[in-house]
Amino acid sequence: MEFAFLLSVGVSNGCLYGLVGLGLVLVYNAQGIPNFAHGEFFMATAFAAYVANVLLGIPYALSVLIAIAFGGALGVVVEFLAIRPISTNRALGRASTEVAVVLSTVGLMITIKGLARIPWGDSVRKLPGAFSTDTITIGSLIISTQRLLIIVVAVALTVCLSIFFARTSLGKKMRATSQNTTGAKLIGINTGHIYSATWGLAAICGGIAGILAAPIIFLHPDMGTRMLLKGFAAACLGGFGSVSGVFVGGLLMGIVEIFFGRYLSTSMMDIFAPIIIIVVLLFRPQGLFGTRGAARV
Amino acid sequence: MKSILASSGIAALALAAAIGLAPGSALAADPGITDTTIKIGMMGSLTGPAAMWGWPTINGAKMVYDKVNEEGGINGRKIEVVVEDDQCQAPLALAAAKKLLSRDEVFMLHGGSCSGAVLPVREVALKEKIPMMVLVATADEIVAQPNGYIFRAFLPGSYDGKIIADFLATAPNVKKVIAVGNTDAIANVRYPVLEESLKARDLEYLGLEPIEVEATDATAQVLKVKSQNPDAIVLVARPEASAVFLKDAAKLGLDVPIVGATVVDLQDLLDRVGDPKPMEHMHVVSFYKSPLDGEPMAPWVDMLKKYYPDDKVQAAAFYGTSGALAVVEALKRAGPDLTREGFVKAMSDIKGLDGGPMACTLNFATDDHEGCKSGSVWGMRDGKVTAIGDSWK
Repeated sequence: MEFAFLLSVGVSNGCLYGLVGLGLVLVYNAQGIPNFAHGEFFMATAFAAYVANVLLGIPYALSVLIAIAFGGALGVVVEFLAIRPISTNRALGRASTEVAVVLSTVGLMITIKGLARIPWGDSVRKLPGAFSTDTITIGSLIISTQRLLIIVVAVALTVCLSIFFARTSLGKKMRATSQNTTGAKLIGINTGHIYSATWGLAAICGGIAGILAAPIIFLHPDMGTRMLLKGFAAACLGGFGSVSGVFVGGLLMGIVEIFFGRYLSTSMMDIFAPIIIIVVLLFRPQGLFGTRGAARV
Repeated sequence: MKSILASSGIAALALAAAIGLAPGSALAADPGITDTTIKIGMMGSLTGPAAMWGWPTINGAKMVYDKVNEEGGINGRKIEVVVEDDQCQAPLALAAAKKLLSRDEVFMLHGGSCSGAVLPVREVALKEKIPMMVLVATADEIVAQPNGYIFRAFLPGSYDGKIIADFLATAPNVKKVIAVGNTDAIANVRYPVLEESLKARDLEYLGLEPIEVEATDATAQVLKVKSQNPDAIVLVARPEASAVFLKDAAKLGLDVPIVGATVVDLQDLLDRVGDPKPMEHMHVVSFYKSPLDGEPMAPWVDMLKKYYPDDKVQAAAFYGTSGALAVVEALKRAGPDLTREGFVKAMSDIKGLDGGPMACTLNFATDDHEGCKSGSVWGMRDGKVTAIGDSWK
């Protein structure tokens, strides 16, 4: 029974890591850069749900929708105001542009976190869970309802995103833009809009993870930092090129992490994510489910 | 020859009077003192990750100075406070202290939210002979001897280990104790004293089970603790990690007494957990005489509401209050001819001063600047946060 309980916790933690990793992968595939501000989408969207539900008294479901819309809008605004002006600056060479955009995301991370600390830095807050019942019992296994919700939403979102990229026009345009930006422009795709949509979608993925995690981990301006590291580890493990791969990477990380802590050392749990990142980059940089990129020279 | 000596003496006295060394002259004072003001430099984590220890603690000290000023000041002088942000970072704390001393020319320092940031400031204060009252940093080393100038008026970091051991020794059927806690500087300072104190009370110490400061799940820790079958747990974790551990412990049926160190406040923990059930077995060593809604805290809560009505009434708000009370008492005792050395001597002479909100009386000595050495244990009784005392009830 302990095994089943650990597995349920590991899977739900892994789903959160996978959701955060998904947002990172979307931006990486679109623009080839790691978004260090992604943890702030996680945090800001969770706080938006808190403001709507706890402070303004808006019903929970509506608050969640408002917060997700806010998260998506934040992603679009960030791309438009802070990323696009740098990425389209012809004065910089390609390599310099990428470095500048990455630095810009670092700046955004510090700025958004700093802004959140002005109203929220004095204390830790709590967002209620989606259900009034904290746990359900299946046989002798006790499972948190919030953790069950995390699993269901993460699986559903991953499936929806896979369908979105495979079947929808916008999804196909996003893929085309990520594979060959110049070619996409030549066939009339507005790549600026595609980048905005990608950042919005990435922020929504991070934001949903934030809303789902908030009842378990409390709200604080720094809540996204730790999750960003876990998301990076999930994306590295699964491979930056694959939506379902990231999700599986997150799952593997969550499960291995909890069993590692239980049966080997809890003190090592803290450094598990960075170890995964280093090991994967050393021995299989494309991740477990990614493929090596090849370029004709 | 006599007349030469006499005239030299008169000239020296005249010179001394002129440059302000004569007794009774306000001009004799050290920096930061005028006839009408005493300038105190405060620093804390106003921004950054530790901002929750910033303004709340500073205002909890400032309200004492505000009250003194409203009542006319001390020996005709009002207290003027200059506040600097150190973000709980050592370089910024050092820069803030130097700015307060050199540019603002403060008489003394009253500050420090995090031990790691205050330790470099200690060196400056001792080297430049600046009196300093620690605001809320708990590391023992900050006030450790040799130290002629730095004082603290609340329970230091390692002292709660002995209180916890004494408390658990009176609990029924407790023989084996395990610690669950963070492994940062704030927590690490506590473990050696805790282990030593538990052993001194014939309690078996099963060791430490680490938990991350930002833990989001404590399932592994709870299951590992359960497998060791302890009779009691000592929780030395920050509020976030403590709340996560308590929730998972309740979920997994870990129902032994738990005693928390002063890094958490029981009421704050209850607010975070949001459910009294996981808190049933929880106790916490507290700095304070009673919970915030108790009678002994009423004057301090009222004072905060009066001077800082927008501040949240929370545990952190009163961590710096006893320090300010001690500073005010020492300023009074130092008299109108205030000097830094006179202030330090007056502070060292304080004995039996009520610690205000703190569950201790303040006693300083020339060779012991830790003024407060006791706290009280709180627990949940009938779903309410209750001050229990120092033994199991």
